[in-house]
Amino acid sequence: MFDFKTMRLFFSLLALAANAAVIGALLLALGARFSDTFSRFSRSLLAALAGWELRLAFLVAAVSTLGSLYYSEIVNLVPCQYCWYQRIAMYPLVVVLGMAAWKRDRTVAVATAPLAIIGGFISGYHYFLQRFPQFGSGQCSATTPCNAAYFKQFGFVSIPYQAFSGFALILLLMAVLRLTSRGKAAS
Amino acid sequence: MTTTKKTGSPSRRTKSAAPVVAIVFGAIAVALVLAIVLSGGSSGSDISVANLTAPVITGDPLPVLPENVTQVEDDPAFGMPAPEVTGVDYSGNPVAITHDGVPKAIMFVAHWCGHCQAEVPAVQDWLDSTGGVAGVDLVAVSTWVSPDRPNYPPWTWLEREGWTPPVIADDDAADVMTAFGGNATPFWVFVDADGNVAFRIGGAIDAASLQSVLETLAA
Repeated sequence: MFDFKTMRLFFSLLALAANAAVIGALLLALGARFSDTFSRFSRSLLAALAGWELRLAFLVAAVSTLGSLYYSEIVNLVPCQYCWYQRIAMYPLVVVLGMAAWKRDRTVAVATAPLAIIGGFISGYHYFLQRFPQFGSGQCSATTPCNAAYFKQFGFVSIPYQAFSGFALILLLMAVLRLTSRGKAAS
Repeated sequence: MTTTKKTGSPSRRTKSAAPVVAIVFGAIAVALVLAIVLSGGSSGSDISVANLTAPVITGDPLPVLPENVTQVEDDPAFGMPAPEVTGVDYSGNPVAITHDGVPKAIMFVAHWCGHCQAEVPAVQDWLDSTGGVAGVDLVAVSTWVSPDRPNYPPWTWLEREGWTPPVIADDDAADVMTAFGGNATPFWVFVDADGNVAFRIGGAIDAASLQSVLETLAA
């Protein structure tokens, strides 16, 4: 039941859900500048998320890490150079966000946001190389092809795409954390 | 002036906790159910590389093509006898690379490799417009086939591109690729009329260079 085909589809659907959350949040933030209705809705959404940002961010980092380990340790897809760089950014987030969620340390965004930004840039560049391999090396190696995707679910969701979606959602949750912390500080 | 730092301040569990948990875990559950339901079908392919006759390779394998070879003479395989291969294409038709007195251009491609996906139609366009170079056989080797990688299966891809030269289906262990010393695709091996390696190149080759090399081999 949980073979490679199923699991890569599962992680791809989660990536698309993460994309929907990030794009929805950006649109909401934009709409809140011009519309009272959007503004009220975004405030109520922030209130609903208050206290859950760290736990959700930890969940995203944990699922991303488990997904990455599934690909390499269960399915035996050998990580390429850029995959490793993304792992370097994502794996510490599990520990840091987990500890922060446990200790309720709302200042952790100072450390985690840069990691998410760096990881997001690397995964974005990796995905770019997969879409436009002519910008990387002129060949595809057998086992660790950074410029060739192991799979493209729905024709476009590859492993770095999933990683980028995870980093983007963590960054969004860190932004929410900052906003709700400011709200608490103001009140 | 005093400042308040909120380090380590506990966050209250709000009344909205239940909806947040329900939405997040509900989304994960829906994604999992969708993945299980949608991935239930088979690949639909009735050809399997494992069912094809494995290529038979004779002769000593060539050394791996080193990186950054700029001179033909710097390639340790230069002048060495090329391995001979007898295999089949994806329809089961026999295809061979032998020392039959005809120079050969052997092109190794992987279906999932973006560079190969660009190289195949470029070479086919050149063949369509020029008819190739008389007196030189062009043979493709489809290697590193993986059902888990994009653009699978290779036979559908090559058919879609209108690929006309013969294709040898490499085995799962990529023995043909290894025998010719390839470690990345696309990979070209040019063999002279005596069956010796004239030139190897890793990466794509443009139409003008290909024409030039093949004319040199045919001369």
